[in-house]
Formats: sequence, C-alpha cells, structure tokens
Amino acid sequence: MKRFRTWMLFTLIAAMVITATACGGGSENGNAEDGGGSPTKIVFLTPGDNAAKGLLPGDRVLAEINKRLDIDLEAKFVPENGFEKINVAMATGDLPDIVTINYPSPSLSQWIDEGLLIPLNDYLSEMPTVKEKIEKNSQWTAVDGKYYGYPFIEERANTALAYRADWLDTLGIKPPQTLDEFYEALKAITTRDPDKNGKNDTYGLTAQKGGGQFNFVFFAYGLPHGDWVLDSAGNVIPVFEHPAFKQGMQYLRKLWDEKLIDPEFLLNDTQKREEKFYQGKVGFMQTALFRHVNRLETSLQKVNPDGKLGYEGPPAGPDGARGMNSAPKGGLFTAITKNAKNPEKAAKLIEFMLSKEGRDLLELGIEGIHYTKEGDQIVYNEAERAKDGFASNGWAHPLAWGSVVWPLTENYLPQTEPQAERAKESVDIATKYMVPNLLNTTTAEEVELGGVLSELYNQYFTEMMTGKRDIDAGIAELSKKWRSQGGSKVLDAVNKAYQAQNKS
Amino acid sequence: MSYSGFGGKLFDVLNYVLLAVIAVLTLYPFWDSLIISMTPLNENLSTNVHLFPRSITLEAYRYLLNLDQLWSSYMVSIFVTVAGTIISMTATTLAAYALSKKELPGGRVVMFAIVFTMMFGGGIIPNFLVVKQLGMLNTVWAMMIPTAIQTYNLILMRSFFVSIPESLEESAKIDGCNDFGLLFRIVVPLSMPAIATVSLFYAVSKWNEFFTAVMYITDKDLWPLQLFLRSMLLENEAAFQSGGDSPFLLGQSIKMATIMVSAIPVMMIYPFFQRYFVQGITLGAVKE
Amino acid sequence: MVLPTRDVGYVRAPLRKRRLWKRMVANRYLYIMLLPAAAYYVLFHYYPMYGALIAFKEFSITKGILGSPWAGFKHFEYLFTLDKFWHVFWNTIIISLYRLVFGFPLPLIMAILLNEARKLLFKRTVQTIVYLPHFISWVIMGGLLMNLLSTDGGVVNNIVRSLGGEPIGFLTDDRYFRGTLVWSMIWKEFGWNTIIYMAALAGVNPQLYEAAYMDGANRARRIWHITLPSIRGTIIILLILRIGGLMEAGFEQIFVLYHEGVYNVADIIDTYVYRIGLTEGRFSLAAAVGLFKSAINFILLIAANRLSRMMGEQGIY
Repeated sequence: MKRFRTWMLFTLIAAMVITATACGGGSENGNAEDGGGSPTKIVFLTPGDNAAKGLLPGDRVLAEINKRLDIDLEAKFVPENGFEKINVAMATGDLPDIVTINYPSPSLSQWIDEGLLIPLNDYLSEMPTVKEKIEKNSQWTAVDGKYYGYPFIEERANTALAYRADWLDTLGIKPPQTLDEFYEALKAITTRDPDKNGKNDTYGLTAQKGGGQFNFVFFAYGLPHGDWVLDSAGNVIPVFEHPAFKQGMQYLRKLWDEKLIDPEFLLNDTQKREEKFYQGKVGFMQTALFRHVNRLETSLQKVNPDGKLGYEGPPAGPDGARGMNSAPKGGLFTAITKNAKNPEKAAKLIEFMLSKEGRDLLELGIEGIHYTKEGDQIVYNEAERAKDGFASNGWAHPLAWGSVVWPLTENYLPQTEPQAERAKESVDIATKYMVPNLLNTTTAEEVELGGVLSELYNQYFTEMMTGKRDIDAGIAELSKKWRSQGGSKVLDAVNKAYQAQNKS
Repeated sequence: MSYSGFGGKLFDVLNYVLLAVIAVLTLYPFWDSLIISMTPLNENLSTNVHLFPRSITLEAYRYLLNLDQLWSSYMVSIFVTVAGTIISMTATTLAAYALSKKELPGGRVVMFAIVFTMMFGGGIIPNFLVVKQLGMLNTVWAMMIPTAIQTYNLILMRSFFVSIPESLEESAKIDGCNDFGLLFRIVVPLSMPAIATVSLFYAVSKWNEFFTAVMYITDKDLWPLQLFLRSMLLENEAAFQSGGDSPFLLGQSIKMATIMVSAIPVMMIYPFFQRYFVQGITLGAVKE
Repeated sequence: MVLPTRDVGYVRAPLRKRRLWKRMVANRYLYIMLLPAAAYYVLFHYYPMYGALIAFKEFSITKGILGSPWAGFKHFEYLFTLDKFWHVFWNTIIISLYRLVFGFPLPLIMAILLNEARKLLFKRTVQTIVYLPHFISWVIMGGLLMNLLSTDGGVVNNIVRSLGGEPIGFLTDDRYFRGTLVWSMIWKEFGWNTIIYMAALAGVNPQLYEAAYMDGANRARRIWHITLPSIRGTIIILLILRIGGLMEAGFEQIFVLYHEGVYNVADIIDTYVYRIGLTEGRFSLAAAVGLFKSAINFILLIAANRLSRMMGEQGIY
C-alpha cells in the first residue's frame, strides 16, 4: 500500500514534468510570421482601466477594431496598477508594440534616452486628433523637438468641497464663501450639534492621509501657482516660501487648535473618510465628485434618510483669491516602441482610440448590436454588451479608459447616470478653480528628487499644522533642509526651465 | 493521565480559561469580517462595531459567485496549490533528508550554499529572463516551478529529520534498505507531523501567492484567485484615490466577502493537516 | 553497507581521498535525492545571481545587466547620504527587535499551554481559531484596528475612559504606535506561528510523560524536563532564522497603519524607499537597497548560527 502511494507520486510528478516541457515554448513564437496579406500583429501593454472586466475571447469590439484598421490587436492589461511589470517587461527586452506608462517617470526618461521609443513626428500627419491635442496643449512634452508618445494629462478636475447641506440648513447658515465664513461654519458644526443627537460628537472638517488636502487654504491666501512660485526678484522658489503659505498655515493651525478638524484625519483612507461623512461625524471634506455625486448622496441617505449632499468651490481669501487644486502635470504616456513591426499601424491605433469614431466604438460598442438609438436617446442592450466585456449600466468596454483618456476628460456619463446634471456641474466648479502651474514641464531633477522633497514637505506640514512645530521656525528649517536634500539642485534646474519657457 | 492535587486542578482550570479567552480575542478579526460580509450596505455604513448582525444578506456572495472569472481563478488556484505542493514537498523532502545526514560528504557546503540564496538573489530582471527562457511565461508552471523550494521550509524539514534518532534507521539498514527505502519506509512515517506542517506551509503560501502571477502571467484565464480578488479590491481602491473615474466601486461587504471566499477553502484544509500533529502519534508508536 | 568513519582527520591524505570517494559512492542515493533541489537552486537562484551586479552598475536597458557600465558604490553612497536613511535604518532595527523580543516567545508559550490542555476537542478548536487571523490581510486588519482603537468612539478607548483614563492615541501618538504595531502583529500571527511547535511536540513520546508522572514530577518539572528539551532544536532553528531576518520589520503592516503623524517612529527602510519612489523603475537603486539589507541579515544569520553550534546545538547548516 505504502509502496503504491510512493509510485503514484513519482508517476504524477514525471507526468507533470513532461507536460511542463511539452507546454514550453508555445508562447514564444506567437508573432514570428508576418508576411503575406495577414494583418499586422500589434501588442499593446497598458495598465488599462483598473475596474473594467477583462477582454473576453471573441470580443466583437476588438474584432471591429481589427477589421477597421487591418491589424491583429492583442491588448495586455497589467494587473495591480503594475507599472513595475511594464518596467520589467521593457527592461528584459520583452517589448510590446505600444506601451502605456506613467508620466513623467524615471523609466520613461530612460526609454527615451536609450532609444526604445519611436518619435511620433513622422506619423503625425496621419494622426489628426493626436496632432491637434498635442499641438494645443502639450507642445512642451517634446524632447529635443520630438514627440515620443501621446501624453495624456487630465485637463479637467473633479475635486471640490462636499458638505452636509442638511446640517447647514438646520444650523441656518449658508454655504461659506470666504475663509471667515468657512471658519464660522466649521465652528457651528463642531459645537452646535447639527445632528441634534444631544452629543458633542461632530467635527467641522476631515481629510485623509497622503498630503495635499488643505491646499485650497493656501490658494485663498493668494498662492498663485500650484507647483512653484516666484520671489520678488523673479526667481523660482518653493511654494512654502511664499507669504500665502505662512498665512494659510496659521489659519489651519487655528482650526486644529480649536478642534474643528477631525483629530484622526491622518488615519483616514478614502473609504474611511467617506464613512465619517456618512455617519454624521463631519460636515465638510474635500472629495472627488463627478460620478461620485450620486454615490456619495445615496450612501449618505442610506444611513441618514434626511441627509443631503452639497458641494461648492473653495472659499475665498481676504483678497478674494480662490483655488482648489493645482492642475496636474503628469498622467499617462502612450508610445510606440522600436519593436513595432509596423509603426504606422500602431500610430493609427493610438489615433483611433482618441478619434470620434474610436470613442464611439469603445464607449458605446457597435450600433445595432450593443446599443440602438432612439432619437437622441441611446438604448443599451445589456445582454449583448455583457458578452463583450462591457461593464453594466452603460459603462464602457475594457479598452475604453485608462490609456489615453478617462471619462472625466470626455465628460462621459452613461445615460443611466441618475444625477448626471449635478455630476457635470461639480466638474465645472472643480475645473473653474483649478490653479495653473508656473511651469509646464517636470524637470529631470524633480523626477529624481521629487519623492524625497515632497516627503520632507509633508512631514513639516503635518507637524506645523498639528502643533508639534512652531510655524515660523518650521518654515525656516524646512527651507534649509529642503535645499540641502537636493532642493538647490532642483531649483537650479527649475529656474533654467522657467527662463527657457519664457523665451519661447 | 490526569493531574491530581489542588495545584494541578487549579492550573488546569486557569489554563482552559486563559486559552478560551485568547481564542475569543483572536476570533474577533475573522468574526468581524464574516459579519460585515453579510451585512447590508446601510448598516455597514452606519456603524463600525459589529458583534452581531441586525439583518443578514448574502448579496455580496451572490455578486462574487456570479463572476465567471472567480470560478476559473478558483480552478487555477486549486491546481497550483495541489500540484505545486506535491512538487515542492517531493523536492524538499528528498533534499532535506539527504542534507540531514552528517556523513554526507559536502552536505554542509551544499546547505550553506542553499542558505546563502535566502539572502542573496539576482533580482527581478534575471529571474524574469530565466522563466522566459524556459518558456514558462504565461503558463501555470510559472507559478509552481520558480518557487518550488522555499529554503525556510527546507531548513525546518532538515532539522526535523536531524532529530530522528539514528538508531531507528539502523535495523532497516541492516535489512538491506537503501536510502530511498529508509526515507519512505522509516523516516516519512515517523515524520508525519513535520510533513503535514511543511505541506501546510507550502499549500498556504501557494494559495496566497500572487506576486509571481503578477509578473509571469498576463492571460486573465490563468490568473489565480488571489490575483483576481486582490486586483479587484486594490484597483477599486485605486479608482477611489485617483479621483475615481472607473465605472463601479465596491462596498464594504463585498470586500469582506472577498476575504471569506479566498480564505475559507484554505482554512478548511487545516483540520485535515491538524490530525497529524495534535495527537501524540509517531515516535511513541515505534518500539525503541 | 559501510558505516561512515568519523575520525578521517587522522588518516593520511591519499587514503583519505580514497575514503572520501568510497563515502561518496556509499551515499550515492543521497546525492540522487539532492538532484532536484540542486537543479532548482542552480537554475532559479545561482544562475540568475549575476543580476546582483546591477547594484554596482548604471543599468542600461539596451546593454543589459552585464554590459552596463560600472558605477562602483555610487548607488550605496546615494542611499547613505539621504537625510532620513539612518533614521529609518534604526527604526527598522528597533521595531524588529520589539517584534523579536515580544513576538517570538508567545507562540512558544501558547504551544506549551495547548500541550497541557488534555481535552482534544477543546485543544483542536482553540488551535483552529487562533490560526484564523493569519488569513485576514493587513488591509482589513488595519481598518479593524482603526475602529477598535480610535480615540473617538473606539471600543478600547471607551473602556479606558470608563475606567477614568484619558483616551490613548494608539495609532496617532508617537509613544504608543510601535507598541500597537507589535501587539497587532502578535494578535494576527501568533496562532500561525504556534503550528510549528505543535508539530514538534507531536513527536514527543507520551511514555516520557507517563514515566515522569510515575516518578512524581510535578507539572512545572515535566514542562521543563520533557516539553522544552524536546522542542529545543525547533526553537533554536526558528530563532536563528528570525535573527537573520532582522532587517524585515513588516512592510505590509506598517504601510497600512502608518501616516505622516508617526513617520518618526514607524518609518522603516522599506516603507521610506517605497514612499519616496526611489525604487520605481530604478533597478540599480532598488538592488542596492536590497543588497544592503541582505548583507546585514546574512552577517547576523552567520553569527547566530555559529553561536548556536558553539553551544553544541544544531545549526541551520
């Protein structure tokens, strides 16, 4: 009996070893043959849309793309926001034809330096949408006059202040328009028991870990740019050396000392922060709106049926300045590698994904199969859509978002969206208060040292705000430390870039 | 056998009470997750402390179990766990036994060389290249072979084998058994607790493994359960943070149901292994 | 079959060589048993090991690891000049030592207590329960801990308050944060770590206990003279391995629980390097960090192993 079991084991293993070798190599020679009339094989490696489903075999949208462009597209989505995997694939010579990576990033700079990417310039004539977009907004992304890919940098914003409108009604105050009114509102929420439960258990404002949650205060005090500011002599300096930073810091410190801010906000992740909002622990928070308007409000009402969500732009400072968040300087970058057998076809695919024709296909599918039109109204055929990996409720195909565009960019909401009007309104507000940057570019020095420096800033910010550090001394020390930790080097580069930008 | 005397009784009582308290305290995380997974959304949103659910819904499970990919991921995970553990155990047991013999010339050098790899490795790029050269990319073997032996487990096995008295093997040796015979007839049956433990360690780590899958598997059909569930959760988290432009977001209960769906199968194998090391079998059963 | 000779040192060289050959032949089956493992380690560990050179190179994708130009100790120097590097280095060691000092003995004590519990069903149930939290990920445990330990409505602080104390910032206060890290780690993992001792204890001959009982040994003496000695080998092996893992202070756990307010006490090498994006796409720097940690771990491991062998215990090699 025992001997039998042992033999079983060995046989099983031997069988597996043999299968292993038999299976091997199969995936290697997938794109060897390329001749004749067969369509060009294009491998597209991208982080893609995280929340989308995977591509299903026999996907009709993919087939449609292949038909229209005469290609054989293989889209590889990287799991887990896996830029690391893309880096490894590129570093081991496992080059796809088209790749999407975060921008700016050390890896992308290295790929460009080492010639792994093909400039798009020669193909721009066949990429009208891409050409228009780049020339309108992203000329500065050129490296030595060449565009090494399509930079997707979000031009719109969806972050603004959300508040408990029902509480403000109860307390008889209007949505605050200035920093003073904001302070009064937070104070009223904290001390005057807006939920009428007889307990002193509410805070005015909450936030979450990771930094950047209170920038609107600095912008209200007149901080002019999101990334860098100028001193009186016209030199570029870090934002925390601007007078507005100190004033803002003092304001925040006052809120903290008077316990108007959730003392445990540093523990919050997004989910926890929202939970506190639903549970009636806080009245205000900075949050992403757009599609979330409906989700936030319905979640709130599940806990508290009378709850009402309000949203507004940031409060104005003493001189009337307002700003919510700085405009993004980074995003995603989709490029063609030197491995591409047919760069022209690859370029056409990128163009297609951004063109009106491509957007319609990826967002809605094929007319008559995935949807039908009744006048202006689009009727989704959910059963057919599900067969091709479309998300439910009118949401899009796995290839639709996450490489060259997000729904926010396109202002895309399916017609099933219950609060589409408000969602779009929130984006208008957020975008209106987006603060411009002094520089378009991110210098190589910032890419290299940015992590260390922003880390330093975050630490000092938190310590000054929570009273562990004096504000004046803190800013002075931060200035010194920041420079010695690579800030000087970055400033040199940034000053140079600023002068170059002004010249052109 | 029982302990008489007041002191002995008192110790027994205290011991049982203490263990029971510890058990209750450690049950809490699991219990909490289980409850949340079955609690309707509005209740989850309104309270943070869940001892007992006020109402129960299996909606989260219905949602998860209806995902097609869950089932294909399950199959991949089960295959990788079962086949991977068999491969790992075979290689580990054989090597550990050989290396447990002090008289094996060069044994200590080999063991040192193996321990060395616990600390130093070539990093992600050359490992990826090896797997690629072997043609294992995008096959289930990439999730089993490159991690076939865990040195930690090999060390544990070896130390168990070292502690088996030589005398037990002598008689079999005289009967003319070679080393294979000794291992499978004498040592393995004597080491069932160790084998069960190390198998459990392997099985659990293979079940929980996702990094190799992230690196080596692109084909969604070959995603193991952990990768599928993790990416579902983490990426929704990412969707939250990036300002949330992905189409749908998951509630708390689905998050917890995910934990249950991924953990329960591997929890259930525990009692099966436990058989081998709760009872005092083994050495006692052998005549010395 | 020839039994091995131990005192080979006394024999003349040629003879010794022949004896060595003879011994190797005698042990041929053992070598065969080693084959799969040898193949595995060569293929997946030693063959790719050239990759470690990347830490001393300026990695170029087109030239590959071996073809990239040398950079000497540049990446290490960069690491060491980072303002916070030594700070997080010491944090790593301190947190790791806490984990070792408090986390190591508890599973052992638990195993002994379980071993003393004679009711099989009870023992099995308890053992199964304490094993469960191992399968709850840190992300989930993090959320749970925040609910339990919050100064604002958390169960633990409610108890503290009802006993007349001031709420304690277990997760926000510098002074308590490391303690919270260590105890929550123990909470989650001690049951899992008990398994290995239980397996070792299963190997103890019950007759030994019977005999000791007959001899009138009390419980403490039986634990001391039978239970502990029989798992001493396991304890020592695990201790050596833990010492060789000193530079690993629990990335995942800390990453979930920490925040700007406690970086001072909680930031370890792994979290710091990750957070500042040092390793993202920078293979050379990432390798330098890894190599630095490995070198320290390795020295500690060798020292611990040597010490153990000097004291007459078995080592891990």
